[in-house]
Amino acid sequence: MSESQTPAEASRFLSYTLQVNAPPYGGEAADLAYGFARALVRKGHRLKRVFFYRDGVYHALAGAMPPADETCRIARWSELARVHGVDLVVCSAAAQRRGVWNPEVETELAPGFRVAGLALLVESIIESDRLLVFG
Amino acid sequence: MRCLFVFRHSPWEGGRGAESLDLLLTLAAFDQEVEVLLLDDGIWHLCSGQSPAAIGLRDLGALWRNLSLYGIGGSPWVEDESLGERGVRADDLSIPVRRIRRGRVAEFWNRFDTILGD
Amino acid sequence: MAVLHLIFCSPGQEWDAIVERIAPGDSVLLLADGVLGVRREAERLLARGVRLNVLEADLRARGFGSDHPMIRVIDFDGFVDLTVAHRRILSWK
Repeated sequence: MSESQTPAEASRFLSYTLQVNAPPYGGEAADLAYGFARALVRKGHRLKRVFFYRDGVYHALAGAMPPADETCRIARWSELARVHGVDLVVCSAAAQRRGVWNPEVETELAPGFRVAGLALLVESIIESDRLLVFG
Repeated sequence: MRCLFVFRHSPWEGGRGAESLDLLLTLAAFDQEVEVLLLDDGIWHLCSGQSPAAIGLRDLGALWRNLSLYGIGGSPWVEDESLGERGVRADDLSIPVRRIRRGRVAEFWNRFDTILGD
Repeated sequence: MAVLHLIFCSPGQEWDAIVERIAPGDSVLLLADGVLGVRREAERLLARGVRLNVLEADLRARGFGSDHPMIRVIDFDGFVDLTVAHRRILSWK
């Protein structure tokens, strides 16, 4: 236990916001975010929200179909949302800019993902005990 | 909540700068105490005479000059060594800044509850 | 009041500046290509009085290991524990 940890924090479960800026394919940061998220829920902490910003919004693209011998870097997040009810949010402005989402036509997102504004990220940061930024 | 927003990347990396400022201003809109620290290539955000439109980028200069209108009261902090290593003088910057030495940055983090970055 | 520094970038020019911005007593986790720093940079970090952790999967993926008594090799559960112990978490990428 580090000296920065209060006794209360040592014994209770914390709430987390993860900000994922990295794309699913390109660098390792998004993989690390996923590994961290999985360990977090397994250990019983509260993963309040994963907010995908910048190139992280590419996680929400529907229809990813990698070769059978590869991990699907999108489907595993959907699975995390399905099994553990994790709130997966992509930034509306960043997603719109990149063509991942378009408010004027019905856009299909990968299962478990939804769209919201940056305000939701800020709200989430304010309400969480911890913020981690990947990428 | 006291927040620190750290810029470490050059403003000419595609849309990175614009998306960072969007987040910074959203944070400030929530009435949080937000301060800004420019390190490494982040210092270039404050260099005068830029024409970002020449490479298709949004001009963020007005946002930087008007941070106080968005609720960010204090001038940005700029690390001395980051300026020196790039041959930039604090007098050359487009807005007034507060300066901090690299050796002090290690303790500076402790003034804040949350740290975000570009 | 210690800070947790997550270092994602491989050791190079910018590490010098990053290391100087880490206080004695702070914790560091090397991950992604940051683990490549375990060979040449570990002693410098330890000499600063930093608590040094390395993510095991990233170390192994790169064919590296560490049996240094002062370096903690941790998995994702250990990563989570580090974040519980530190309120301020900084990502160096």
